[in-house]
Amino acid sequence: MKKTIIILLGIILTISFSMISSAEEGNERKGKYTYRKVYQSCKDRGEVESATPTLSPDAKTQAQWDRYFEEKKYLEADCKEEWNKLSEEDILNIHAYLKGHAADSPTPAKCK
Amino acid sequence: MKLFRFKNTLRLVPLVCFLIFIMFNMTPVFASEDMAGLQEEINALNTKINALDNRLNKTELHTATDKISLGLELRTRVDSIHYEDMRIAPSWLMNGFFIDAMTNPITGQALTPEDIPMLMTMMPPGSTLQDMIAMSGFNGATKDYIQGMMAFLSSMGMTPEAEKYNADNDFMFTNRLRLEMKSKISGNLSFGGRLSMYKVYGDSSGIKFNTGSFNDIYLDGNTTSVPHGDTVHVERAYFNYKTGTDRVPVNVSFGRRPATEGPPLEYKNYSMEGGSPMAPIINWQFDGASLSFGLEDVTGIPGAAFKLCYGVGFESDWGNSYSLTDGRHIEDATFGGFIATLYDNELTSVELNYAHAWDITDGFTGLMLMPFIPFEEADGTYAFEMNKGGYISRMQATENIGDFDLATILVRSNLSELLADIDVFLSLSMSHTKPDDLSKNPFYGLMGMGLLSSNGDMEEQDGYSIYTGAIFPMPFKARLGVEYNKGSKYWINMTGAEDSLVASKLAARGSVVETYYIQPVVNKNFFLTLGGVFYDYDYTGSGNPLGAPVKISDMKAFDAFFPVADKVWNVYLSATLRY
Repeated sequence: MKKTIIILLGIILTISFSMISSAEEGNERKGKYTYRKVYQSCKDRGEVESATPTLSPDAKTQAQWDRYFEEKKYLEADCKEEWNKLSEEDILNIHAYLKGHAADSPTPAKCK
Repeated sequence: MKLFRFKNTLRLVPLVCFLIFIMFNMTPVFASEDMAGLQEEINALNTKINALDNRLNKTELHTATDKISLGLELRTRVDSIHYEDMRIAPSWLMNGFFIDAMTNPITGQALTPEDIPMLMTMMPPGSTLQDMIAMSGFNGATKDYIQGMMAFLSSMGMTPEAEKYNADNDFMFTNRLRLEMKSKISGNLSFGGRLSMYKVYGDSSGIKFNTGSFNDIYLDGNTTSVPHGDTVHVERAYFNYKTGTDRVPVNVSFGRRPATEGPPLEYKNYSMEGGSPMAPIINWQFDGASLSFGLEDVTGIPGAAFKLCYGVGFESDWGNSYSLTDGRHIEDATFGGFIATLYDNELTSVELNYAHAWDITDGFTGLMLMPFIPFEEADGTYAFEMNKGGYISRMQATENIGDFDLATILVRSNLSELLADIDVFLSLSMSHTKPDDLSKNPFYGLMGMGLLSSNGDMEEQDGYSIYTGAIFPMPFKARLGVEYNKGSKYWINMTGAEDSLVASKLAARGSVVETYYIQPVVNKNFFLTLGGVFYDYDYTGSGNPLGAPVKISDMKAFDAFFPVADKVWNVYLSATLRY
């Protein structure tokens, strides 16, 4: 019984830590998901032919992604309607994802 | 009145004319000053543009001639490994292989199984099995006699017990260097590769003393995955050619495959997916090809894709003693299969990997140091010679022993939309073996070993494995992972290239628990990992296709000619630089 309580407490504490930790700036995982959703919605609307985002994370360097978001260049690209609907948090998450996997990051990534 | 107004108006005419004169003559003065200023600005801008153009030209030249972009990863790690209750055959039994066998005193011929009762009667009263072996060993005996003796002892309940002992390697340091190579040749042609070096501090011999594990053999499948010294090997080198249509993109690839560290090992490695086959069934360096199709747009299923894969595990007609000879022919060992992405919306994915292995051999070509060398002589007797000179052996396959099937389904999900940034995964795997011949290797043949079989038995077997884990975000961007896997008695896979100094945990015929804590120090460029793995083996031969697995608690000396691990603790701490 004691062992079960300790294990349950450990699980609760771990999940609590996770929820605190998750509330940091720019969640890459959420950003990856939201970025894909933008192009999926855009494709459903018929503006683009494929749900694969036109810009992969490794299309730019980290500094270039910072400038891209500072200058809000995403509003000049495809799927403006979907980009305009995103919240500040969504934009931050997408920024974190793209920058985290930029061409000069330790883990450059390409959209599948 | 009218005349007065007219005269006044007339007086203004000269003034207007004068003003008009001034406008047309002074305007060029003002215009030319503006123009000069503008021209100066234009000239200055042109100078800047020319300077930028020159700089860009240099950069473009640099980019165009730098044909490969390099990334690097350097990991330094310390492991502490503790083996509990290792099993090994008693030394007097092992020594029996180097003691000459008697001949039949009546016939003068080599002993047969029928001579065993006679041999027993020749022993003085109170003699032990050890005494009998010391009088008449196995060197020069026939296979039938050796196997007959083992069967006789087993039937009489006289098979000696395996001895137990503990072994410790308190601290062992390793360095692993990886150079990632990428090259984008054109919009649809690219190259990827990796050069790797993996060594133990203070060792670059490259060849190990064989203690019965795949890790002890220098194989094509593990050149960079098991420490072999400071030699740099090509772990992967392949091209990708993209074709197809916008709706169905197709990718063709040939080369040394990115076939190690596939999903879901990326969590433990703190990286992107490291390779293509699913790690629970295949984690092995090999050369081959793949053909993949993007099916998302035609199916409407997020991330849907289908990939065909092919690889060669053993080439028979190159470098072997029987290559290109007229005689018994060993077939190449080849693999083929597919990876289907059934769903992937970047948060949750479901993938299925199936592979079939044709003509699996009783070994791959490799180098090792055998403690002793068994020979089968022309007259059917066996000779055993201790390797006193420490000579390196080139192992080669001697027989195709059958086919097997492997399959795994992997579900991964990130719970950030539901709960928190927690990753969870679950993999269910199965294996099916179909033996069709016994090994002709002198040692394995002596034991009547085939594909997951011993003593000449050849039965088809099914094995199962489960692998699951959860990874939690921690303060200061750290990650805490907990993983568990369990394999059944006849579980077999091809994961000899797994990153483990003990043995592949995913090949375990037993249970393994691993926890790790990853702490970034400089973003993802430099991080520390503290981890621990506990292996609790239930059966012998994890990861080895040869020989029937034996329950460790029931094993005897004849099952432990090489050391057999029961429980192993491995604690590690690493520092990884990635750039």
